Amino acid sequence: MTRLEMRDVSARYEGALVLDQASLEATAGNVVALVGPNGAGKSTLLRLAGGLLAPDAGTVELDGQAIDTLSDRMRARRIAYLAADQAVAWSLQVDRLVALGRAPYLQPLRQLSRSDKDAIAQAMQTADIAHLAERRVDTLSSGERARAQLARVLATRADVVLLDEPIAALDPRHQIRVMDIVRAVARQGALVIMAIHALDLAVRYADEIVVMADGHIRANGPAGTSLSPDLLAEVFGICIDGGLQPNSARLID
Amino acid sequence: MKALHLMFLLGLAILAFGLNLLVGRDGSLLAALMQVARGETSLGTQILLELRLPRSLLGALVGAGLGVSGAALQGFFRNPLADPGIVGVTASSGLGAVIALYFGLASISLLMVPVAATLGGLVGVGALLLLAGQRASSTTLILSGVAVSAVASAGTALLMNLSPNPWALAEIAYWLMGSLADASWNEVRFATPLILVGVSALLLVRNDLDPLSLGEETAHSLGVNLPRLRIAIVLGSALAVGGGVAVAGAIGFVGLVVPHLLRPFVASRPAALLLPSALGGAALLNLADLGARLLSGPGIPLYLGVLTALLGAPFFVWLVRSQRGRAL
Repeated sequence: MTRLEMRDVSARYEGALVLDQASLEATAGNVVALVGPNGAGKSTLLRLAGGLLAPDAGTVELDGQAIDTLSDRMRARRIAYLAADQAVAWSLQVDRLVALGRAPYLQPLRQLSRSDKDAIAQAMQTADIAHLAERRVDTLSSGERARAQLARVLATRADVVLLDEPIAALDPRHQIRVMDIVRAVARQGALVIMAIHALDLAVRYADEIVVMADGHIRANGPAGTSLSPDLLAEVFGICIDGGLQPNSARLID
Repeated sequence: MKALHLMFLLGLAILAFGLNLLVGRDGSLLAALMQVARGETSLGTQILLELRLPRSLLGALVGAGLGVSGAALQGFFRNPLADPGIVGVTASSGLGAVIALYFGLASISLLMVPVAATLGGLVGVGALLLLAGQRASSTTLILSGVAVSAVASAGTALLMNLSPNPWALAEIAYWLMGSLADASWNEVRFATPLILVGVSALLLVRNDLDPLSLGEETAHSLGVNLPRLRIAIVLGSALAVGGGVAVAGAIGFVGLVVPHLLRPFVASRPAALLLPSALGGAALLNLADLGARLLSGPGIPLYLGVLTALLGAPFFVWLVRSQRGRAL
């Protein structure tokens, strides 16, 4: 079973410490939500977990193997990553965007294989964008584009899925749709770690909530217990009357 | 791109090659071609084999190099305005070659000019990458290209300024205008390996350009080895452009126009654009060379580089206008 372990990881950005001795363990089948104010170090933690950034101190291991000993390709097959910046440079067709998720498997000068095509079709099904396959990415709405990017991540069929604020720009309905997909991906056996601002959705969908502030992990535990009123007040500077409740919105078809 | 489109482009490149080989202002060389087939020799067969054949071959090669570099640079910088000429690679290759010409390095070995042109191109792409960064906005990219071009042009102007006699000056000036008129088998021998190696390097890494449309970090997360890609792009385009500049001088806009015209046929996939752009570039340059030859008056040559600039510059203006206000 996939297991990601970060031990005493620190990272600097232009000299400033942005992550200070953070430790985190997570296993397959779970959704781990990273919450915290802007600049808390959530994105940095995700980049370190994905091997996209080398820590200044500490270790990151995937199933007991140091992540920086994996080749770029092997790492890319096991860990999929959705950046907060989801810009696409060219007017690509949606199915071509999703196909990029298979890049870690593509042999030089070869076409997509049968298993690549299966993975792409299934990812588009899961993200409910099969009907958009022939559309150009730049003609999609934000909600459609977010699901297309999510499908691209799913097409890799990675063991670990890292998502940096995948629902930040979406309306309430699309937020629920994307979170349902995230939940389903974890149920299928992946480990999902996501940065998220919507606390009520984190409480509703995550198995574990990691609260971050100023480059530190302040609390880490099952949804509902790690976000105490005291910590909410201290970390976010907010107070919620009646306590933090899980989001309870349902989709109406 | 569909196989049919690719076959069409290949046919077009072969047609352009054939036309530039056989058609001239004084009629066609078809009769000479027949003589060659029969093993006879005449003035016509000499013109065909010693002048036109190397010229058309170079036209295809230089055009393919420019087309592929344009497509690769556009994919790499994620910007449709990237072109070897506009971003300053051509000018820096030119400076390299002019340095070799000025100091008479060509008398040491005829290989010195192509080598110097390639080195100049390398310095140019490297400087551009340092100045603009990889995710450059159109403005930054073009301004950086202007800066690189300006430095290279200043160096070239200095050497022209210092040139010992009007003939040396004229040689540099005419050469800079871009032409295949001096093409011989020697030029083919120098340019072919340089351009082929450059084109191959670019074609080999082309699949990395697709993930790069999602940004550097995401491309990295998809397994792209970014340092290797950068090296391949810098070396590949310097060789593909430098090899061409060394034998044909500065020929602009081919690398801009060709990928842009072909992009709709590959559904905007940057990786799929390289091979068609090579074929398209080969076709366009031979057609342009044919045009330049046919338009030249007796004793008044129209230079190939002048013709491509006259045709390409308005296209560039149109492209800049259509890019205005886009986030890209």
